[in-house]
Amino acid sequence: MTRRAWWQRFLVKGVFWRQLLRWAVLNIPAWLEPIVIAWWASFFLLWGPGRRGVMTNLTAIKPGSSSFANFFRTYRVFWNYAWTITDNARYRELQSLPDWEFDGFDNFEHMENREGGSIILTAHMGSYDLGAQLFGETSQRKIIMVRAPEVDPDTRAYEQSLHQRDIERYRIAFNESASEIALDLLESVRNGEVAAIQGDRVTPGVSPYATTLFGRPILLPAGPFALAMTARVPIYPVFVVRRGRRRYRLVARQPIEVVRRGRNRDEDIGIAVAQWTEQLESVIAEWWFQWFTFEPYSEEAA
Amino acid sequence: MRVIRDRDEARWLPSRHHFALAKLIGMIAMKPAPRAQSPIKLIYAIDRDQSTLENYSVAIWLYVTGTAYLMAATHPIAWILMPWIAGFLIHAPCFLVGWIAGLFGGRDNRKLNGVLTMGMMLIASSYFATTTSPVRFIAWFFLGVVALNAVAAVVMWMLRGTAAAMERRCEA
Repeated sequence: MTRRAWWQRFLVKGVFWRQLLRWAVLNIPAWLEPIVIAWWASFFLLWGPGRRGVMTNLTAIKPGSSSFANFFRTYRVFWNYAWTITDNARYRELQSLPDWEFDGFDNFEHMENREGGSIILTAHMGSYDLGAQLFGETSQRKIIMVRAPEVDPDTRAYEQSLHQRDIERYRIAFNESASEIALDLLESVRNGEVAAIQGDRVTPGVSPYATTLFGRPILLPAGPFALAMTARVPIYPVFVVRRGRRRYRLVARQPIEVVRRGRNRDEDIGIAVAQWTEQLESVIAEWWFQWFTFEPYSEEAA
Repeated sequence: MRVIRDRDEARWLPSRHHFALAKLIGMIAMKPAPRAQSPIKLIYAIDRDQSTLENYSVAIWLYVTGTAYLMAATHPIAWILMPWIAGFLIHAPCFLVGWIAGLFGGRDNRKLNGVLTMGMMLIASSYFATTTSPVRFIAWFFLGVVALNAVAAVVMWMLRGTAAAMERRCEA
């Protein structure tokens, strides 16, 4: 095993920043947090690739917007991101919950009361980690959260060690190999568990489905739709949106049924993907400042 | 952690505020209201650092005060960068204190850092209040708010029974 250079922990996705965040949550008084977060959000604006990625995405979400305005919008994205990861770390370290609003509670109850498992499809918005933790505490069902592994090996090890503490409430499956995780999820969903999957980007090794978002081509994961079709369970679009300081809204939308209608499986999946992208577009258009996608989502835009 | 469901008035509960002055304002602002019938369900966390209004107000107040003190203590040529530098310097002592406290086994040092930050601001305000520069008005304002908070703490102690009744009403 090659030894990593000491400075790599300070790269933007390095473990140092995760450790610093955890430390800050335990050391900074709450009434200093707005200053601290405003300052660090401005510091991370120096991260060129992330800043440019958000600005590129904003040109698609807000057609005709200027680079000047998008620079300040990018700051708003960074500011919201800083708050959400702080709230998440605070919950982990201090069990301190934010205020919650449930929008579409009937959909949430429907999911909770139906027989068999289900799939939650969400996006990199607001605090999806915090949402899963809340779900784990309020729901009778066990939740499996599928997420992409961290790029940095030290950060990955750090995150995995933190998740060991929450294993009783919810389980995290790292999306490293599509074939391995698919069987695991299928079995879990058939056993009545809920699989929460992020459906707004593909990671290497995951089978993609080509579609468009805000008129630009994007690859979305095909897995959740194939899983829903195989397991015959609905997909519930759920978004966790930050509404203010320590205040979140859980938006549960109408379920998407992925039904096998004919011989062409891809066509049937395409119908469900179209419904999902419609939901995704409406949510991102309203809460663009909370879509934490720091790379251009479309190859074309990149 | 305690939570209150579907009662919008709970946002003003004194137990969701940190400083006595904010608790008192919350108590005055709180109006009895029936349980919300909105399709949006609400959960309010009972945590003394939960109030947005209070925390943003205190943060802005400390930031403006700290920036003014730093500007008063530095050459005008440095002023252009001062808003950004002040943002760091105001929370920088927390790093040092947290590190030292960590050496002695301290895990959650928020209270210690809170007391020390306010203590340093109090010392700085006492100094700048005695100067003849315009920053003395900011210093006197700081000292005035601290004094008002002390008075509010006495009032809140006298009204502790009423505050407890408010908590019970929301939890019912």
